[in-house]
Formats: sequence, structure tokens, C-alpha cells
Amino acid sequence: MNPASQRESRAYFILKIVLLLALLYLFIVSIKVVGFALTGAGGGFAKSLMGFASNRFAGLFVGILATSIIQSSSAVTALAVACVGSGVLSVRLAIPIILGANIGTTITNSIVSLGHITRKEEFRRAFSGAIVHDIFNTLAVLVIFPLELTTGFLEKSALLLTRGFEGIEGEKAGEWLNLVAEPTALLIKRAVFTLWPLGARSAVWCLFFFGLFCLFTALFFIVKVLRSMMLGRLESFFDRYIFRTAFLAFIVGLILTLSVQSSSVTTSLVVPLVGAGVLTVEQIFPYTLGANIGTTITAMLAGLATVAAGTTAGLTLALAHLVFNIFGACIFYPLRFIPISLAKALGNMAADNRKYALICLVFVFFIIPGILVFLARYF
Amino acid sequence: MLAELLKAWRKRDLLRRILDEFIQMLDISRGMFEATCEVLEGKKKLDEVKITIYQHDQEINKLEQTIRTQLLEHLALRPGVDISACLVLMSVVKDAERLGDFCKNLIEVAEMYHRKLTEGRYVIPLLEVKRSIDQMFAGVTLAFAQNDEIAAHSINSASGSITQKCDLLLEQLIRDNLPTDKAVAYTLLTRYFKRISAHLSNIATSVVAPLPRLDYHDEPRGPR
Repeated sequence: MNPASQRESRAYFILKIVLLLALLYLFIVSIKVVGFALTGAGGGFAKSLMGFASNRFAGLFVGILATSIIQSSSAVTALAVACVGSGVLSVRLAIPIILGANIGTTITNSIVSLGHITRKEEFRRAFSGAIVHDIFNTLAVLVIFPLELTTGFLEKSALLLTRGFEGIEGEKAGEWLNLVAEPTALLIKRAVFTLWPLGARSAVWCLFFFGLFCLFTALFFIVKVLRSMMLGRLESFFDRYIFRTAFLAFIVGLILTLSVQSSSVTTSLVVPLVGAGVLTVEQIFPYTLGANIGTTITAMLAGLATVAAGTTAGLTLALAHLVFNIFGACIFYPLRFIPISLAKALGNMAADNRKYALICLVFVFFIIPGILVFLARYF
Repeated sequence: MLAELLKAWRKRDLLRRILDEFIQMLDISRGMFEATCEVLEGKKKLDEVKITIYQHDQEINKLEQTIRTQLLEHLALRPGVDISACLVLMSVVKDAERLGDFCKNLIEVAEMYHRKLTEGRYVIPLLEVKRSIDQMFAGVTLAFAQNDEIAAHSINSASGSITQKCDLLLEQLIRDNLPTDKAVAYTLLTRYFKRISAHLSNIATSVVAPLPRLDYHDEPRGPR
């Protein structure tokens, strides 16, 4: 590369860093704005939200459906953290939403696998490679959710971890973020309340949707910018190193997802390679586990943003998300033959008859949530 | 390991690496061609080069598989980036692999036909063709690596000339009354030289022709 191109390349890189910092700032501010809106909505709104979410099956359904529709578990978990941070939702009731988001996010790479539907063998492999993530998350929820319902172990573990933050740099980081973001968030709040012509009651909703819009926009562009910064470099050593060992695959899945802030992006990257036969389901499984853990960073960031003096509930929810994914990996990595065999069996079925692929997707992302709504009446 | 990872991290462009590997395929096949012709001319013994030729052929096959895998990875990680380049590489890597196969075929002819190419009226035109192919090998690496259209055009015209010479040789061989072993050996050599020239020309067309017209350097456009 000649010096002029190098300078240009460096300038673009710096521009992207600046853009990224601005987007992260927007993300933190939007969390605060949403929090203000939820608090400002008053007791009535909080009561109705608590009433709806008091049924934890319904919470799981909300998590799956919302994430399937917007295809971003980061957005849903960040929103849940904002709700918990502002006090309208408790950690206990928000945890099922997080678990549901974990399942809902896998629809993206399942959709990517449908792009390989023309050639049977390719589709068999691609679908297995995509669905293994979904199967793992579903199995993890099937094991850990009842445990959480009966013992509250996720909440308790997360509370223990949160106490570790209190009084050390973690909480101070949260307060620093608060200091940086709160003035802007307050400015936005004042501006909306001043300019909105239809009264204070509806102004709260305007603020809420505005905050939501900023949150989605920030996350969308964060992922885009990070993707453009990371993937060009990644391809240079993707083939040689990443899937050489399970540990390396896991670490790269974790770090890459931390960097790109989207497990949907990182897990859907490998689906075409599995379809082409370059990688196997066995090779990508540890990578998927790493991606699951890496994606919790967004909720952690949102949790830190909600930390104010004496309030760490948002952070607790984010830590619950982390604990869930770590536990799931610890349980199902030794038992990986279960999700892998199930994925391959489903891949075989889907390849022999393509409609099974669609049935599988409809079942997981829509029928199961529907069953949960039904169960919600009785539990 | 960490040093390797950091080195690869800094070395951003996978496509550049793929191009280098493709050039490596061309260099290996050129070496194979030269060694095989030395055996045919009696300058080297068959046993000295046979194993090396087969090993080089395996290296070429492995490079082809590596390049195909890397192209897939590039397209998966950066969809929409350099699609044409990837499709061109996917096509020309097959031509490069065929070069190795034909060099192997030449050594098999040398093994079966124990006489050297040193005398007889067919030897001179065959050696002329061989020298032209030598030059094509040198030219194609330059043309492809540096996107040199002039070099690419010159390779294509050399290929046209070789095709004519080989077709003439085949006509003569059919009409001639040679002993069977000689006739078969010379026919096969002519055929293989013609195919090597054609594959080198295919690679050269990728420098000058748009993707849909890859490999079509000697056919008129449109219906006749």
C-alpha cells in the first residue's frame, strides 16, 4: 500500500473510532432517556407492566417474540435493563425476557441458512449449522428456566456478583457514565416536554419512543461500524487459526462478538461456511457458545449506564444474562453431542423436505411463544 | 502462535494472499513443464524428476483446494466485496490445476516412449511449440500479477499460433505412416502441448475479458 493510501486508511480508521464513541454515547444516553420515560410514566404504567410481566412465562414469550421480530437480542436486553434500572420491572420478572431474547436472536442465522436452500446437501449442512445455536439456547432455557423458577439461582448468583462490583471500579464506572450521559438525557427530556404539544401525559410516551428509536439506531450503527472495522482483518486469519481447536473457536467467538456487539452477525457468518462444507457443526459449536457469552456485553454496558448511587438492579439483570450463558455453556459443552445430534437430525429432515425447515422455524419462534402464553394463564 | 496471529491480523487482505498462492501454482506448474521437457529432450533422466513431478502435482491440487476455501471465506465474511475477482479466481484456479495435470501426462508419455525428442521431422516443430509455451508461462505470471493487458494479448496470440501449429502437426501425423509407438507418443505430446497453451491462454483472458467472456478468446461474438 502506498503512503497516500495508508494515510487515507488510517484517517478512515480514526473516523470510525470517533463515530463509534459517538454511537456508544448515544446508546448510553438513550438508555437513560428510556429510563426517564418509564419512571415518568408513573405508577399506573409500572403497575400494568408489572401485572403483565408478573407471569414469567409471558416474559419468556415477550423475549422470544420481540427478539425474533427486531432480530436484536442486544436491543431487547438493553431495554429490559433500562426497565429494571428505572424500577418499573424487577430483576426476577425481567430474567425470563432475557432468556427469551437468547432464543429469539437465533432466528437470524436460521434465515441465513434458508439462502442455501437450492442445493440439498448444502442446505442440510447450513441448516444444521444454523439450528444448533437455537437448539443449544432452547435446551439451556429448558434446563435453567425451571431452576430459576424454583430456586431463583440466576437472580441470586447475579446479586452476589453485583455485590462484588459495589465499592470497586465497576460501580464507579457506572457513576462516571451516569455523569457523562445524564446532562444530555435531561436536556432531551426537557426538550420533549417543552416542545410536545399534547400534554405531559403523552409527552412521556413520546420520550419513551424517542429513546427507543435512539437505542435501536445506536445499536444498528454500532454493529455496522464495528463489523466494517473487524471483518476485513478477521478474514486474513479466519481459515488458518480460528477453528483449529475448540478452545480457540470459543475464544474467537467470544472476542469477535464482544467487538461487533452482535451474536447474530458473528454466528450467521459461519453458516455459509458450514453449508459449503468448509466447517462442521462440531467445529462451530464452541464458537457459538463463545458468541453467546460475548453478546452479554451490551446488556452490561446498559447496566452500567443505569447505575446511580445505590441502584444496581440493571447491572444485576445484565449479570444474570452473563451467568445464564456461562452456565448453559458449562452444562452443554460436555453434553454437546445432544444439541449437535439434534441439529443434524433436523438438518436431514429439512434437506429431505424443505417445508420442515419452515415448520421448525415457525414452531420455535411462534408456536412455542404461543404455548407459553397459554401456560401463562395457569402459572 | 500469538506472533503468527498478530502478523495475520496486520496483514489485512485475504484476496492478496490468494493471488500470491495462485501465482505460486503457476510457478510450480512452470517448473514441472521445464523438468518434463528436459526429460523428453534427454537432458535429464526420468527417475530424477518423476517423483518430484508427482509431488508438485499434489502441491498444486492442495493449493487449488486452499484457494477455493479462502474464496468462500472471503465471500462469507465480506459479501459483495470483490465478487468478480473471486469468481475469476475460482475459474482460473481450475486452469492452473489442469496445467499440473497435463505436465504429469507429459511425464507419463516420456515414461512409456523411451526415445528422446532429438531427431526426426516432428521434433523441430514440437520443440518450437515447447519454447513458445515456455515464454507463455513467463508472460502469464506477469500478465496476471500486474494486470498487464499487453502481455495478456501477446499470450493469446501466441496461443493462437500454437493451436495452428499443433493442428497442422496432427494432420501430418494422421497422414503419415509412422510406427505406432511414435505416432501415439507424438500425437499425445501435440495434444498435451495444445491443451497447456489453451489453459495458459484462459488465464490470460481473465486479465482482458469481462467475466462472462472468460476463456472465450478465439470465438467470434454473436451468431455467425
